[in-house]
Amino acid sequence: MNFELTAEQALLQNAARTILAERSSFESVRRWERDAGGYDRNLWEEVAGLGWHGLSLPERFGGSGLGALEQVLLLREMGRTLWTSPYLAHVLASWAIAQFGSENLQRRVLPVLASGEDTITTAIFGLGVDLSAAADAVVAEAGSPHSSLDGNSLFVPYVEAASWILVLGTQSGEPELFLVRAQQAGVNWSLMPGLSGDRQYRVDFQGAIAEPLAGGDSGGIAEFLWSRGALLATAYMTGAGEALVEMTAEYAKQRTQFGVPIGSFQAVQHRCADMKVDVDAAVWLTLEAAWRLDQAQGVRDVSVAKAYASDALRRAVTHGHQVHGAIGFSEEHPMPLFTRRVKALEVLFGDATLHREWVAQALLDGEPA
Amino acid sequence: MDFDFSPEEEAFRAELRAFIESSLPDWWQGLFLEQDKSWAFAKQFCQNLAEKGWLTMTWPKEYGGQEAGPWKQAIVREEMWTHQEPRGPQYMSLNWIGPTIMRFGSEAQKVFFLPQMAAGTLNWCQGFSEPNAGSDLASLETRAVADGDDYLINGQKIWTSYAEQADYCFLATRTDPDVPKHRGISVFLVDMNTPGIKVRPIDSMVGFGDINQVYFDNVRVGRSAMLGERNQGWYVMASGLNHERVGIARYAKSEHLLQMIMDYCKRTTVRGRRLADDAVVRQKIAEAYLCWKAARLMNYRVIDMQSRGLEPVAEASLARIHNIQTDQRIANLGMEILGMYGLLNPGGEDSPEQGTLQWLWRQSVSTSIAAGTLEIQKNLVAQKGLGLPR
Repeated sequence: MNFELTAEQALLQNAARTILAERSSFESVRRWERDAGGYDRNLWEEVAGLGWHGLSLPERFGGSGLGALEQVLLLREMGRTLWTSPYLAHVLASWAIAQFGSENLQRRVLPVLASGEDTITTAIFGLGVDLSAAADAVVAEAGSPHSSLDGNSLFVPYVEAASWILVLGTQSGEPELFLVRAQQAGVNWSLMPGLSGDRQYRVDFQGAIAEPLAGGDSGGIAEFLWSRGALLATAYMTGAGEALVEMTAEYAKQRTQFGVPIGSFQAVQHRCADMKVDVDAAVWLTLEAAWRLDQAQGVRDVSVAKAYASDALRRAVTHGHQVHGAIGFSEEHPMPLFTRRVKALEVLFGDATLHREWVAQALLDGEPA
Repeated sequence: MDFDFSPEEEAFRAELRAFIESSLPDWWQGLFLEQDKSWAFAKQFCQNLAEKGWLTMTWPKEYGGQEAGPWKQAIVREEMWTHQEPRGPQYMSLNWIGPTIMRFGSEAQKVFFLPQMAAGTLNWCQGFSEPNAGSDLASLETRAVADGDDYLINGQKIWTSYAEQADYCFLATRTDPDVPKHRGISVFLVDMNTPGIKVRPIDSMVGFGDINQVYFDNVRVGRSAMLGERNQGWYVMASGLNHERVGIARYAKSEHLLQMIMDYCKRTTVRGRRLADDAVVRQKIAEAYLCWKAARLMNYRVIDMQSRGLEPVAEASLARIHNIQTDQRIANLGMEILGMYGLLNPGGEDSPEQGTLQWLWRQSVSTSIAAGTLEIQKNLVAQKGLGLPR
């Protein structure tokens, strides 16, 4: 047992905290919500230069060869400032290619993803948002050398900024991942504006040229995407949670009513304590889940973390609002940003109910001990 | 990072578990049942553990320990709580009274108490709460007044666990009523056979030995019975209570109960379907599992801090809040799933799982009260952890 970060991990965490604190203020996050560009490309390129894009990709493809744990540490820092970018999708797609892609395809694509030269997004949700619906919504016809995609994907992040889309579809009745050039005649998209304020799109494929990833060996694709996606989303969410607890405690110290800081009232203290109790556990469950993934110990702990964090953060946001009072509704204050983003993350890659069921499968679908 | 115990630690756990399981009589369900037999067993068990060197294995060598690290200590706690704490009340003296005597005790006190505790022959009670001093412990009124070389103690303690069985009391008294309340407290280590001490057991829904009232009527103790400096008692107690907060592996008891509930759901069929296949039951069990995992992890964070020489304060309270939530959630889940069967007393022909559930549930009611209420723990998290004003 050892809960301490290595010196390298601590360095990564501190560097990320510093640069994001400097470059991604809550004001800028809100500004980018209203900007057609969607996110800060200068910062995106800068952190690519720091090696963030290839952090957990193999060194032979230009990555840093680090693990899920380091990736989680980085996303947690992004969550602290609510920095929004295609990063989560980019990492998830890169992981999927590293897992399922042929050697040839990996050699071609992973280096430009690791360097940040190209950006990739993920099209893995269909109507109904569950494991099978996405694959069914996009059907590929096998061809030579490329397949042809028809159908549509929903909730595709930042597609207008992407060179590539990793699409979950079906070919010959089996789920398959496809590498698709975003800029081509058969790919069209329209914005799906939503609560969280980040950019997501409906993408329509009409005879889009697509390269199948796995070439037949596609077992567990959807499970892989959902579990890894859930881990990354949870990491971001727990970082947001930590920042929310700090912001709320700070407000409770400064806001004076009845002649005293409201943080001296026990009712307020207990809400703040409940937030801390919930968020700290979510943080550590996520770190453990990432560590176990790096030890090849399976993904049940990811579901534990996602289920816990989804509920914990919803409770924390409720407390946060209650402590902030009316100013918490003001879009001039960061509170609504937390509220909206956390709500989106709560359901992204499965809400607490779905992940609890996955935990239950591991616990209950065997014989009595 | 590493979230697993080492192979050496796991081997120790297996050895300890085998020893506990071979020692426990088949009727053992914790101190709350078969009271006379249970008390006699717990006393003997502590002595057997002491012979194996496991009772005080985390203590320094000079006081009869092996200087085992905090992680081994955690393993001992977990295995004991999984088996309904067969050490009886001694876990508390090992966890914090011993270390507090090591830190604040005189040479004579160390020489007198520590070897007896290491041998497992000494039982303690803690004289803290009073009728008018619960959460506001520092307002305690039991007076100790200097009388020549002695002190005369008058007053009463309440909710004192194991007062009838204890050999000694770790007693908090007021030695100066004219200074702010935290600065006028002194601790005495008092022989429970001293004339003037009277114990009245209070019938408790939680179980054997659980609560007593203790009266002190002109109890004369020597100056040498004082632990630490005069009027420094609050500091002595706070140091001890910090140990106590993390000294109880309640989550291990919860894990044991959750396992019992899951097994019950796997083998019990209702209206043609296994309980374990019911969607609502599955959600509730998974939720309980998440809480348990969170609680264990938050306890492990505290142990990790201790193992690195850091002093957990808010983290210890936070871990305890998780223990409380988990204990109550899982006990309630068990009662919900077992329904009317869960109400049955132990030993009955129809009592499921030996009828322990009812008693574990009774205990869970007190979990958020004993050793500092849930609300006090939340205050500590808010004030010490988040810096909110007192």
